[in-house]
Amino acid sequence: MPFDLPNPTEIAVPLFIILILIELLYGWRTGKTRFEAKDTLTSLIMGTGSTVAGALSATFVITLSYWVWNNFSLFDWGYAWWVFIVAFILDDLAYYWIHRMGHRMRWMWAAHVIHHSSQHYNLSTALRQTWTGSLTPGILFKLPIFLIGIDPTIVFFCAGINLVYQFWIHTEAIDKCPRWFEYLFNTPSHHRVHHANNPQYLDANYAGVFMIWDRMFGSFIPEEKSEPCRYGLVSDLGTFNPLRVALHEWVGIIKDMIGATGLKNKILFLIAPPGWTPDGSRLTSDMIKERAKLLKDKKAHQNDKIPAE
Amino acid sequence: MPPELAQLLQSLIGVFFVFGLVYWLFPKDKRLSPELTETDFQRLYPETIIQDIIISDDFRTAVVLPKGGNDCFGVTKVLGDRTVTKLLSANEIAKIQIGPNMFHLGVNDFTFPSFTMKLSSDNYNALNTYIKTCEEIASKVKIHAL
Ligand SMILES: [Zn+2]
Ligand SMILES: [Zn+2]
Repeated sequence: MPFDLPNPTEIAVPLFIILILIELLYGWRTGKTRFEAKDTLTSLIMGTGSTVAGALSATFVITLSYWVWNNFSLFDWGYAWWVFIVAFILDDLAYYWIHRMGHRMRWMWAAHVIHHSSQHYNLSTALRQTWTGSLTPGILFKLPIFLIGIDPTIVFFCAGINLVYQFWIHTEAIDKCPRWFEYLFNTPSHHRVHHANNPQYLDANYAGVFMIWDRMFGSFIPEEKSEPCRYGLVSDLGTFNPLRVALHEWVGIIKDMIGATGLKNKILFLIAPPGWTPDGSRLTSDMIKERAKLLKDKKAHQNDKIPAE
Repeated sequence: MPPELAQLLQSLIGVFFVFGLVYWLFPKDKRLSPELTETDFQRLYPETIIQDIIISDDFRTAVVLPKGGNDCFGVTKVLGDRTVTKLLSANEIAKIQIGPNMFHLGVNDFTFPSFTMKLSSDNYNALNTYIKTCEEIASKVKIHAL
């Protein structure tokens, strides 16, 4: 690396605080955004904790990335400005898949669930970040970028900018952006859907910055005025305790794996979608969507049968 | 002081400053009361309804789990493995005694539009009143007595 790159998230902290204060005052004056003290405190503690956890695991992540880049990189990309653009796009693509797997594989969900554990949706929710990301196989999705030869430092820098971008979309204060922008980029509207637990909104809009990935890979769902977003988990946590917020799903996985009979079930508790059980006694998001659809059909059917008054 | 520690301290000061402001400016979570339903509660949880009614395998106990659970009602204890670890009798919420086989869940789609139950008329009225209160906020729960 011929020059030093700053850490974008570190630089952005004052901006985060100022924007939260603006949203807070806006919500207080208009009632259009909502905060709850304990919820906000938990989110901010999770944010602070995640920077500490990130610093602690940095050595491992950096060592692994540079080991791949030093030993196996196929091309020398150098450090021209356009390399940063390519790196940003590829990193965003990797983010899309990490995030998608973060919802579809319980091992990765254990780390990501933290970000979805608030029942509120405001800028403080953006800071509710994981402490245990480095305990998941997420980094594997970035290795191809190092393999083709882009310097990991550039990729980490782009990932930082990506994270900073995602801050402002965690708000109910902004309705919709111009249409071209909604088409290309992740926006408050798209990300509200991602945080909603309404059945029709589950498992959608995984994008970091570019919304085109969801459109390409079939996971895009638009926000409908007739179906207001309800935020949180399908089964909400019922705690503001940061340690429990950070670790509850890991504890759940370990308990399930110990209790499971047979190696296959033990492994499936780790890699199957959240909610999977051998006997189907809990609900996965697919099962919830299926049931919601059945119910909708049933209702429509009933309405057909009732004669108009 | 090492710069990392200074930065952490700075963050923590920011955290508690924002917490103080939210605590000061926004309504606190309180238990549901008719007055609060109209004002604070509605403001905090415009979408609040019963989120779930969880019935134990033996049908002996049920948890009425409102959306926004712990903050408003202090009802739920759900662990991350998604099993109910503390089954609260509905008695604690709506002063209803739940006996064996009193509940039958129709279709649960996580928006909870309907369920069927067998209840004595007293219990039915009590639960109905409770759900009506929730319905005022979002009319998504309907119960039918058998
Ligand atoms: Zn997510
Ligand atoms: Zn988010």
